[in-house]
Amino acid sequence: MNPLTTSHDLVHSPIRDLIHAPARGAAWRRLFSRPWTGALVAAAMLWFLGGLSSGGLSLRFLAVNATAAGFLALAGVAQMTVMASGGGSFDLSLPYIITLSAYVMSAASGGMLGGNQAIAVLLSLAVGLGAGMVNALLVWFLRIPPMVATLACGYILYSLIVGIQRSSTSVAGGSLQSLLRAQVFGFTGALAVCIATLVAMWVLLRRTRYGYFLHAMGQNREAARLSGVPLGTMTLITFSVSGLLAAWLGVLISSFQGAPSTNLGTTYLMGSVAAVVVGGTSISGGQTSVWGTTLGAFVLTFVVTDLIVWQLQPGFQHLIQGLIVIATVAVTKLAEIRRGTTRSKQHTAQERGSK
Amino acid sequence: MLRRSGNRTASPHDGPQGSPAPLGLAQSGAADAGTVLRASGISQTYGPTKALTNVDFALRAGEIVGLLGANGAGKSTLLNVIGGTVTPDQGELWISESPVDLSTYGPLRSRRAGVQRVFQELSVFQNLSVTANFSLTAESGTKLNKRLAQREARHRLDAVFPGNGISPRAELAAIPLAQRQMVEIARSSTERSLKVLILDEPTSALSAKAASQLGDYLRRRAAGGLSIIYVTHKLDEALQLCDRIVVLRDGKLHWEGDGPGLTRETLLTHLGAAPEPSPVPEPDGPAVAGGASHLLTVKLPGRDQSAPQEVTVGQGEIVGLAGLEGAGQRPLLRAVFQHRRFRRRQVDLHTSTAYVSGDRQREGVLPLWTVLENVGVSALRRTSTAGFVNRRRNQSIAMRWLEELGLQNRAHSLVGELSGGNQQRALFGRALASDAGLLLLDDPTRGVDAAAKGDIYEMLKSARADGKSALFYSTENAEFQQCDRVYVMADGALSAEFTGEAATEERIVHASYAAAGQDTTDQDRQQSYPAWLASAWPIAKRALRWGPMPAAILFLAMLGTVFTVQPNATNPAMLNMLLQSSTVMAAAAMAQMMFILGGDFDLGLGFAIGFVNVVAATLLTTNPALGVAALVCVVAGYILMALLVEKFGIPSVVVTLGASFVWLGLGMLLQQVPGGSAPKWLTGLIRIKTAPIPQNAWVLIGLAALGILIVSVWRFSIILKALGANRRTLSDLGYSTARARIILYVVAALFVVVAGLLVAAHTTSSDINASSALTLSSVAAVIVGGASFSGGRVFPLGAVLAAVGLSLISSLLVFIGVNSQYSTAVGGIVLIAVLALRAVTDRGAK
Repeated sequence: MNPLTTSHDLVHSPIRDLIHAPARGAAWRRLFSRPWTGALVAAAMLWFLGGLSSGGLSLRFLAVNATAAGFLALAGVAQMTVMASGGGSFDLSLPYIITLSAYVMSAASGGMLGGNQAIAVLLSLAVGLGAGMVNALLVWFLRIPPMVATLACGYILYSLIVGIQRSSTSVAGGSLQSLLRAQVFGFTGALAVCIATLVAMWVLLRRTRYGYFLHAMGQNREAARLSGVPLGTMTLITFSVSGLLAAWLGVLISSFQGAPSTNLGTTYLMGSVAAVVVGGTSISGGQTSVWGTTLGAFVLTFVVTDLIVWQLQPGFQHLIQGLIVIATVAVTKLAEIRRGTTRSKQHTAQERGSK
Repeated sequence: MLRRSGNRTASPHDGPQGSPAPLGLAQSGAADAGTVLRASGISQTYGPTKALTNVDFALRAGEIVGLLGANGAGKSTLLNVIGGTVTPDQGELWISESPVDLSTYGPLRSRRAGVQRVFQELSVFQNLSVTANFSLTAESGTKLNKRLAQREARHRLDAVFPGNGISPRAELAAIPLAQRQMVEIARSSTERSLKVLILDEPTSALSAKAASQLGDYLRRRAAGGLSIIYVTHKLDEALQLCDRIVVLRDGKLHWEGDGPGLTRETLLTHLGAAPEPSPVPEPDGPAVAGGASHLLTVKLPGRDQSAPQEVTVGQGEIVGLAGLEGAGQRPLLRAVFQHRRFRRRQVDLHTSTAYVSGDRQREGVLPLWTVLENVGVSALRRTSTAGFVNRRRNQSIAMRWLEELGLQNRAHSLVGELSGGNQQRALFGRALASDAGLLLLDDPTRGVDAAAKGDIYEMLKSARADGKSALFYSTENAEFQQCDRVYVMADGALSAEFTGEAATEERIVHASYAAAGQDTTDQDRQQSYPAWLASAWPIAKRALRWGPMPAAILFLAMLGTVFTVQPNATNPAMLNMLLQSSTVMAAAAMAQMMFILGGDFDLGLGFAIGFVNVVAATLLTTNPALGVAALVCVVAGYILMALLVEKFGIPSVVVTLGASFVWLGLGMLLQQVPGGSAPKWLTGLIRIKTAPIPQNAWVLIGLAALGILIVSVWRFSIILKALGANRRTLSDLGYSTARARIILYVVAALFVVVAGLLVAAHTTSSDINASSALTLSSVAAVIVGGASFSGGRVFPLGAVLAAVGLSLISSLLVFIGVNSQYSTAVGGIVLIAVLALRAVTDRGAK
C-alpha cells in the first residue's frame, strides 16, 4: 500500500489531506479497480471473439445479443435488489413470476379482457407485486429464510402457470409488440425499454431513501435497525420490487416473443444470480451495481452466442457458464478475504502508517 | 523459587482503600511446591485501552481463588490469557512449573494442559443431547458406545449436582437454562485430566440449591488437589468459598488476601465502595418538577420499597444507568428504542430516540460506506421529499456534525479506516444528526481513548444545552460524573437513585452489589423480573414441536386418502408402483438433508442426480469402468464444493447453483437426446420380489435407516451436527471443520448417486432434465420433515415420510382426475403451513 495515500487518524493536517485527495491521473487506475472491470474486459473479449468468425467487431453481433442481455439484466437487477438486503437473501420465485406474468399478459391481452393491453400489463404487474408481497410476508412474519419462502411461493406460482396455460394459449400482440419489435440499426425497442427500466432502477437504488436504507440494511442489519431503518417495511418493498421487475420482464418477453412457454422463466433462476455475480457485486449484501449486473448479463449472453457461433455443443454453454460463476465468486471472495485481513491488521492508525 | 510473591499488595496510587492486605502467600513461604499455574508481568492493551498492566497471578494446587473486580477491571482478559484465547503483549505463563510458549499457545493447547473454562455465555451445543455434549470433549473411546456414553454423562452430572433430574438423552435446547448451565459446568469440571478449572459467573442462572451443590463439589475437588479460579460478582459466594481473593482494578492487581476472615464490608472497600456509605443527601427534587413533563417514564420493579420504582428522563437531562454488566440496563435501552413496535405499557415515551452502541462492529458501523454516509444515514428521513433524497442537504447536515466533531477531513474515508475513537465520534454524530430528542447511549465509550471520551462528553453537554436528553448506560462508573441523575440497577431491578453530586463512584459500587448478597430463589426472580420478559410454555405446543410430527401427519393423511380413493392401492404391486417416485425423492431428500445438516443448501442437486442418471444410462451400460470413474468424479466434485464453501467462505447456494450449470452441461455433452438404457444388473436389482412388503417400501426403509445411522448413530454424527449448529465453537474445540464439511458433502454425493441410479432403474433411460424438480422438492421434504434451516438439526425419518407424503400428493391428484402438476402448489402450501405452524409454536416457546 502506498504510504502517501493513507493518512493518520489523530493528526489532521491540510497538507496530508491534499495528498489524500485523489489525483487526476488516478482516474484510469480507479477504472481498473472497479468491481465490474473484469466483466467489462470479459464482455469486450467475448464480443471480439464472437465477431471474429462473422467478420470483426460488428455492431450487428452486439445488436443481436443486446435484447437477450437486456432481459437477463432486468432479472439480474431484480435478484440483486434482494441479494443486497443481506442475510443470504435470494429470490428463487423469480423464474415463476416471470413465466406467470407472461401467461397472464398473453391471456389477458388475447381476448379474455377484450384485448385491452394496458389492463393486461397492469394485471401482470399486479401478479408480480402480489407474489413479491407474499414472499415478504413469509420472510418477515413467519421468519422463514428468504430462500425457503420464495421456494414455497414459487411452487404455488408454478401450479398457477399450469392452470393458466391450459385455459388459454393465445398470442400476445398489439401495439406493445410492435413497439418492442421496432428496430433502429438492428437494436430493438425492447432493448430501449430494458435500458429505461434499468435507469429507473438505478435511480431507485441510488437516489431514493429506500435505496440508501437498502444498502445500510445489507451491510449490517443491527446497525441499520439502530439507525432507524425500518427492517420490516424494507423487506416488504424489496421483495415487491423484485416481483414487480420480474413481472415486467415477463410482460416484455411474452410481448416480444409473441407466445409464452412453460420454461420461459427457467433460465433466469441461475442466470439472474450469475449476472449479479459476474458483474462483480458482492454476494454478502449491502452492494448494488446496475451497471455491473448489466455487464454480467452481456458476458453470459455473449458466451452462449459465441459457443453457438463456434458450433460447439449446447452442453458447453452451461458448463462454461457454471465454471465462470464459480470462478468469479472464488476470485472476488479471495480478494475480499485478503482485504478483510489487511483491514483487521490495520485497525490502528499507527500500524497503517508503518506499512 | 518459581513463584513470585510480590505485587500482592496495593499499588501506592490506588487511593486510601488500597490498604496493605493480610498476606497469604508470602507467609506461607516456601510451600510453593504445588504451583499449578503462574502468570507474571502480563500486560495487554486493546487500542488505547490498557486491559492489563503488569499483572502477576499464581495458583497453587488445591486452592480456590476468587477473582473479583468491577466491569472492565481486566478479569476476562486475564482469563483469556490463561485460557489461550488471547496472546498477551507482554508476560510469561507457567503451567505445572514449565514455561508456556505463548506464541503457539491456544485454546486447544490449554485444554490439553488440563485447563478447563466454563464460559459465561454457554458454549454447549444446543442441538445436541446432553450425552453428546459430554462426549464431544471426552477422549475417544466413550464415543463409540452410546449406552456407555450415556451412563458416563449421567455419572458426571450426578457427581456435581446430585439428584439433578436431567435426562442424558434430552436435547439441550429442550431443557431450561439453569439445567443447560449445569451441563456445561459438569462437563468442564469432571474432565479426567483437569488441573485448573476456571468458572466465570457459574451461578448466574442456577437455583440456590444447585449453587450450594456446586460449592460443595468444588470444595471436595479442591481438597483432592484441583485448583480453581472462581469469578463472581456475588460477594457472599466468594467469601464462603474462596481460600484466597484477588481483586483487579483498572487492569492492575489491586488487592490480594486470604478469603477466610474477610468481611463483606472490607471486600466492598477493596472493590471501590465507600467503607460505610455516607447517607445520601435528600435530593433537592428532580430536575424537572412533576411527572407530566417527563420525556420518558419506564416502570421497573425496585429492589425494595425504598428503591425507585421507575426510570424517568426529563427534557435537557442526562440520566445514567449504572450497575454491574448484565443487570438489565441494555434490555431497558432496547425496550425504550423499540417501544413503538411493541407498545409496552411500561414504557411511556414522548419524543424520538437515537441509539448509540459501544459495540461498533456489530451494532454501529456500516462498513462499506464513508464516514459522511455513516453519519448521514440517520438524517435521511429529514432530508428526503416523496422518497427522494436531497443529497446535498443530507451531506451538509452530516458535514456540519463532522465539523463539530473535528472529523471533516475524514468525511470521505471508509468508516473502517478510522480508529475506534473516531468511529465512535462518527456514530455519536449519526445520533445527533437524526435530531432525536432522546439519545440512548449503550456504553458508548467502550474501548475508546481518553481524548475521544472527552469529546463525547463535550458533545453530550452541548446536546443537553440544545434541550436534548440522554439515557446513558456505561460500564465505567467514573463516567457517571457526566450525568445529572444516576439510577443503579442490580439483577434486573432498580436498586438506587442518586442525584448530581451524590452519585459518587463509591455509592454506585455499593448499590451495584446490593442484590447480589440476597439469596433469591428462582421463583422470586421470575416474579421480580418484568412481566414482559417472562414467557409461557404451553404444553399443547410441545407435541407439535417434535420435529417429524407434521411429516408423519402428512404421510398418514396422504396414505389414508389414497387408500380411500383407490382401494386397489392396498395391493402390494399397486402400492409398489405408487411408492416408486417417492424412492427417488427420498434419496434426494437424504442428500439435501446432509447439506441442510451443515447449514447449507444444494441448489444443483436435481441436475447432479440427472447427470448420474445420464451416466448410468450411457457410460455405465456401455463401459462400466468409465461409468464408475464418472460417478467417482461426481463425488470429487462435491469434495471440491465443500472446500470452496469452507475455505473461501462462499455461500453454498452460489457454489451449488454454479455447479448445477456444470452438471447440466456435462449431462448434455454426454447425451444429446434423452434415451439410453439402464445396465442389466440395475434393472434386475429392482425387480427382486420382496412380497408381501413391496420392494420400494424396503428402499424407503433402507434410506431412512441409513439416514438415521449417519445422523444419530455414526461416530462422526455428533461432529456433523455440531458443525451446522456452531461452526466456531467446534473449531475452537480443535476439530477440523473442513473435514466435517467434506464428510457431509461426500455422504450427500453418495445419496445423489443412489438417487440417480434409482431414476435410471425405474425409467430404464435417462434425461438430464427429468430430475431437475428434485432440487426444490428435496428441500421441501427435508424442511417439512422437521429440519431447521439454520443447520444442525435434521430428522431422516421425517424427511423420508415427507418425501412419500409429498410425492403421493401428485398420485392422488391423478386419481381424482386433476393435472398432477398442481401437486407442486399443494407441496408449496404444505411447506408454508408447516413453517407457519413452527413459527407459532417456536414463538410460544421462546
